[in-house]
Amino acid sequence: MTDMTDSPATSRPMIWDPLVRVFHWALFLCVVSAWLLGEFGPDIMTLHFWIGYAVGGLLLIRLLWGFVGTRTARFANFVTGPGAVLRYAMTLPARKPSHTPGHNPLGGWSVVAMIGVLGLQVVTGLFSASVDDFVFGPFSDLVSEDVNKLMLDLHKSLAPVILALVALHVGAIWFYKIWKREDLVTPMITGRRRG
Amino acid sequence: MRKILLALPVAALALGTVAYASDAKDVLDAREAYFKSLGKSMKAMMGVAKSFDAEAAKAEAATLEKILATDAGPLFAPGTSSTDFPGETEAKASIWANMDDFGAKGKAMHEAGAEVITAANAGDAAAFGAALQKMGGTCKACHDDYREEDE
Ligand code: HEC
Ligand code: HEM
Repeated sequence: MTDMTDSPATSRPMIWDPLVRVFHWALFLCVVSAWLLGEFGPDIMTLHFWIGYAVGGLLLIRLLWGFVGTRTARFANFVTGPGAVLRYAMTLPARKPSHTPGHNPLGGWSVVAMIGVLGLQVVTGLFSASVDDFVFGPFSDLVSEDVNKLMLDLHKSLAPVILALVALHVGAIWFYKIWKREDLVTPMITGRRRG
Repeated sequence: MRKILLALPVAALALGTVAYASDAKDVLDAREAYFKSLGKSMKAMMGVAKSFDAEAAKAEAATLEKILATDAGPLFAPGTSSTDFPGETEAKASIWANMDDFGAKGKAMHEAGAEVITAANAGDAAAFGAALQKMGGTCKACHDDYREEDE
């Protein structure tokens, strides 16, 4: 089967719509800032909270877009079964671009993982509180102090998980660039493959 | 030879720890009680700040004033770090290597605490909330550097 989009003669199709691209880079900025502020930020954590809300808002918009958005943005079009994931994984060692017009089956699940973990991070943050550190999430009053502590423990444990996911994500992009000679960054900026 | 020279002070320290263990445990207990009462006071004041009540603020300020009058120096007697008593205290050994900075962080808390007390006694809700927030920041500042993460 020949992939029409591979042909330099055809005009390059839009892979990522503008909402997906703005979401992607805004999320990147907000997550990095939230992490830095959480780890090294001022002792009064107001700024960390606001950036955290921004992450939450972005995730909600993306969730909605995953149902009503453009073709490559819809979950139904990139969340696949284990068979498809396995079949795609077998093609990974091949030194040629995959040129999937959207998320490939593995990448699709990494999107789900990223949104899931970030969502958990926001939710645990909202219910976290530490009297000792005098930091109180906005919903911390709604639950007991034990739950506040549990949420904060989860929040602190999830932070390195997020870093690991980001590292995996960036590592995968390097892998595609160097091993598979496929540029995944340009489409996330211009919306189209470089051709 | 070097090993023996190194071992000597270590043995002396170990003996010392045994000899002073009961004193040290008293320090640990007193320290825990001090911080627990501080935490309790901060929590109560947080409640007051949410729906400000001048009488309650004054009462809590009086409690805080008493706690802050404690001389915290003896609570951090040498040989009472988490290296000396693993699992029994969260006070990092780095406290004793950075006593000046540790003291400055304690001073910052006392100064913010004085502002809290002044605002409470003046019945100024806005100033009370702001000072409380500031004082809360001084708790985290010290814990971030000198308190072990709980396991
Ligand atoms: C100058 C440093 C410093 C400041 C300022 C400080 N703390 Fe602490 N705090 C510590 C250290 C060190 C420990 C660990 C003590 C231990 O485990 O022996 C601690 C422990 C605690 C604990 C746990 C006590 C226990 O063992 O159950 C609470 C609660 C606490 N602090 C509350 C506060 C609050 C509230 C403030 C601000 C009003 C505050 N602290 C300000 C250094 C500080
Ligand atoms: C993706 C978004 C977020 C990331 C990456 C993030 C990351 C972090 C990190 C790295 C820490 C420091 C943990 C530590 O001291 O070990 C932290 C602390 C904290 N965060 Fe978040 N956070 C996010 C969102 C939120 C949100 C939305 C809230 C709630 C408003 C929140 C509330 C808190 C609280 C209460 C603390 C505890 C501070 C302390 O006691 O030291 N976070 N966060």
